Amino acid sequence: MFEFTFMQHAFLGCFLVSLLAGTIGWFLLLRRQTFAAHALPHIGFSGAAASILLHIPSLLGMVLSSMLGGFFMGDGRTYAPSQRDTTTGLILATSLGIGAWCLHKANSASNQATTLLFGDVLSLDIQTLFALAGLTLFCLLCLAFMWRPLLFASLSPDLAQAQGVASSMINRLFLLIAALASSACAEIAGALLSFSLMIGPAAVALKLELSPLKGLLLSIIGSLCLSWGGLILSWYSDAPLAFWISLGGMGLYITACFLKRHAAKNST
Amino acid sequence: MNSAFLSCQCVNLTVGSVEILHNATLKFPLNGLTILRGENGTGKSCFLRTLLGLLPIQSGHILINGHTPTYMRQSIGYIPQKFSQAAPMIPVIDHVAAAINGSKWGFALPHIRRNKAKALLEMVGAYSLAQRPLGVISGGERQRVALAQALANTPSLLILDEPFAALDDKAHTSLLQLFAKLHKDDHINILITAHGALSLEACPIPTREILLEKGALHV
Repeated sequence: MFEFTFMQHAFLGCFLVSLLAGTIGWFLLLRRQTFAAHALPHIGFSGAAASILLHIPSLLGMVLSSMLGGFFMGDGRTYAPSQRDTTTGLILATSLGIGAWCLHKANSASNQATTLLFGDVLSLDIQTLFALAGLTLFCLLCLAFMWRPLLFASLSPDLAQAQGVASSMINRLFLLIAALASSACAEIAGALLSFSLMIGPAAVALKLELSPLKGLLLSIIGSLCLSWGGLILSWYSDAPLAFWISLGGMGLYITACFLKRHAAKNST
Repeated sequence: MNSAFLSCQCVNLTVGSVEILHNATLKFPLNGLTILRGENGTGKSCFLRTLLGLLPIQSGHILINGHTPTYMRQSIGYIPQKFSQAAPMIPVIDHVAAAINGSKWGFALPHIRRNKAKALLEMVGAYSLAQRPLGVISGGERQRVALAQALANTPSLLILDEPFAALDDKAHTSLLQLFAKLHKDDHINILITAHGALSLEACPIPTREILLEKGALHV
């Protein structure tokens, strides 16, 4: 399978996206923003649908719309979790409605919508790979820059605020980065299941109660195993990559639960 | 910090429809242990949040050691009344490490912060908890971890909101002894809110009480 250029591109794309998904996913779960992880790629889907109507690249439409969604979802006035979920839900519902209308107007609902929803990793061209590499590098650099206040505000929000960390600004910046990352993930696994690449491995890292850097590393490795493993399995089977990623994520989490229980039994 | 003081001049503080301070004026030293008392609902916690620059006053001036609360907050360690429920699965040492220069931008090498976090946990007698997840430790242990977090940036003043609320007698005495040690060894002054009687013989440092009542502060 490695002699085909499209497969080489697919493996490279999965590698880039896994770096992002593992890192952003870990922070999203730590900050209890799983719903945002689910919503952002769907909001991106609406942007991609609009881009079909406007005849612009779908990745650009996806990035712009998910960043717009992330900007409003990260509003400082909606920092309380209950209010945050309400805002996220409303933005998600509105954007999906707009996306459906765009596809209807573009008269191309069936084929392109399927591609947007489920992804098409085998059609990654070199330009898209460069775009993904740029997105990945930019997001990781931003995360490194805001590492200390983001980690502090995620672990101890009250203390961080008392020490002068602008929690609402950090939240908004982080969601903008998460929006970029979810657009990149949607290129691989599709809007419908891109969050599974973010959530599954990160959930494993948190379940195992690892320190931040070890947790991030495990989350990235987990994402890489899921995306590369999924690619290999989908080559030998007829099932789509997103199917293997979502199933693999659940498998990893169940394994982590088993390991945790086993370790607890041994320690008593 | 013998010159440490808190000065309130004509301070008006209202939260929602509740008036906490009405034209309050008072200047008192913060050297040693200062206990802020007042009935439930008088606004002690709100007043502490004002001292941290988290709650704006409507009028007047508050100065800590001659500086505004916003300016001073890097030099103040704070422990809120209720502990955050965020990230209970992360080990204690990482919670403490994250508080060290946590408000500065950029990436920090983990081993340097973890070494300092170990020293802080040792200082408050919680070193044995370092590798345990935060969510599984007891209330008294959590109080010590919070103290290590509050000490992360070498503060000159510690503000603790109801630190004795969930502690048994032994932990209560032990915390007071720790206050005395922090003041004697590191010249840290402590401002707390409290309801019941405190066994102050365990804390042989200068102590004074401030009463917040009907919108006014009294020594």
